Amino acid sequence: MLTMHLTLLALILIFVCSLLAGVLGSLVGLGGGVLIVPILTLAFGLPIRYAIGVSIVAVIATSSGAAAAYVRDHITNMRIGMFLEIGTTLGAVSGAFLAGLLAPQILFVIFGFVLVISVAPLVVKLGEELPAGVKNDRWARALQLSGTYPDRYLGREVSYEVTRTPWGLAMMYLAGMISGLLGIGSGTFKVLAMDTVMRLPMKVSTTTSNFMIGVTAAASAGIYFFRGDIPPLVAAPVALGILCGALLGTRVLSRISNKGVRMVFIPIITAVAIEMILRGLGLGHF
Amino acid sequence: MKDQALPNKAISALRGQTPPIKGTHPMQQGDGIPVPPTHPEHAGLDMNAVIGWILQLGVIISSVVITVGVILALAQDQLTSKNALIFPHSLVDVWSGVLALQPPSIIVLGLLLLLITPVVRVAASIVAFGLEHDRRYVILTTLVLLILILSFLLGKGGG
Repeated sequence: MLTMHLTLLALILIFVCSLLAGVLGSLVGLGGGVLIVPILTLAFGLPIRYAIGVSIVAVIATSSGAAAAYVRDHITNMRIGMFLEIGTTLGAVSGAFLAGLLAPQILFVIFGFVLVISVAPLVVKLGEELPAGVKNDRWARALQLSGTYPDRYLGREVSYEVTRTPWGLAMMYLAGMISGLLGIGSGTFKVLAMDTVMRLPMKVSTTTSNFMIGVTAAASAGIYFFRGDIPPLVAAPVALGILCGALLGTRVLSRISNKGVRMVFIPIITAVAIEMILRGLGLGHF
Repeated sequence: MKDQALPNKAISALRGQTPPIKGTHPMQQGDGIPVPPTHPEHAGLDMNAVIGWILQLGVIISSVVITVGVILALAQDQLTSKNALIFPHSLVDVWSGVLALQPPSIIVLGLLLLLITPVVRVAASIVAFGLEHDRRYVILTTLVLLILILSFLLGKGGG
């Protein structure tokens, strides 16, 4: 039987780290998982099984904590989120089926390199505040995906159109499959699909990803809970910390530029890529 | 009257591109189109705001419950003395623990409330799209909810 005794100091530190993860996660549309799992396993010695369970709580806390603000601010595009969620959830189901057939190590390395490569278009577009010259494709027109959002940084209502919708949906299927196969959230792939493929404004991409990761995580949350993978004494400071952080993050998002969000996103996506490759090569502890 | 058939489509195409106008139901903008009966209390509501409220309420309730659990655990000196990896994780155990005011069970209850907020959100979106008479998205969102339930069942079967 595993034992773990937490000190009060450890609990406070977990709370503070979670707060930071909540701010970052709510800004760039990732669950806190990629940040929380390494902290819990490396710094606090929590067995990986429980760390992953707690990270599911972290993802949902980030998503729901930030969503309340983003939905009311009309930044999240609910139609795009719902439509793409079909790809993600179906992908997650097929990923769960394939899980036994494919070696996760190889997949970690492959997807890690995919992420490294996908940093390039982000860097190229670093100077771009809003995507220009994007025209609705047939799918976007039929599904009324285009929209507007109020940008407090630019001080105006920004309208945008949506392109390459089928490719975005395909990439969402892949993102769902990755989370089903590897048991990780796939906020990075979701943001990339919306930003790089469908050419949405960065803020719309991250907030819509934020909405979606919560729904995807909720699908597997029950499994983790009933399996006994979510220790409440560890999850409590994580949940409270992330919720506070997400609340702060939503305040920040409306005030910074799309460029600024992208600037935060690039180092995080690079860190996630390295984490995945190391894990695939068996060099990571997480 | 031939022109009257068009506005419905034109309006719904526009809806995505224009900022939502508070207090006007999308169906009321086309003159000549009979306004379908809606519940008066739903008629001018901004559905995004309602969903935002539901989420916020879920988040607030769950964080209050978790905080109460943490404070009780601190007061009873259970937060650090107990093995953090032994805890109730079946609904029956959690519920009896909550009734006995055991801090870990109260925290788990708060966590469970948090974990179901995204599902509630999807369910609320079905209602929201329904009130907007957006049948396509009602079907789409219902599909998402069904896949969610399916993946939950599949996952549980696989252990």
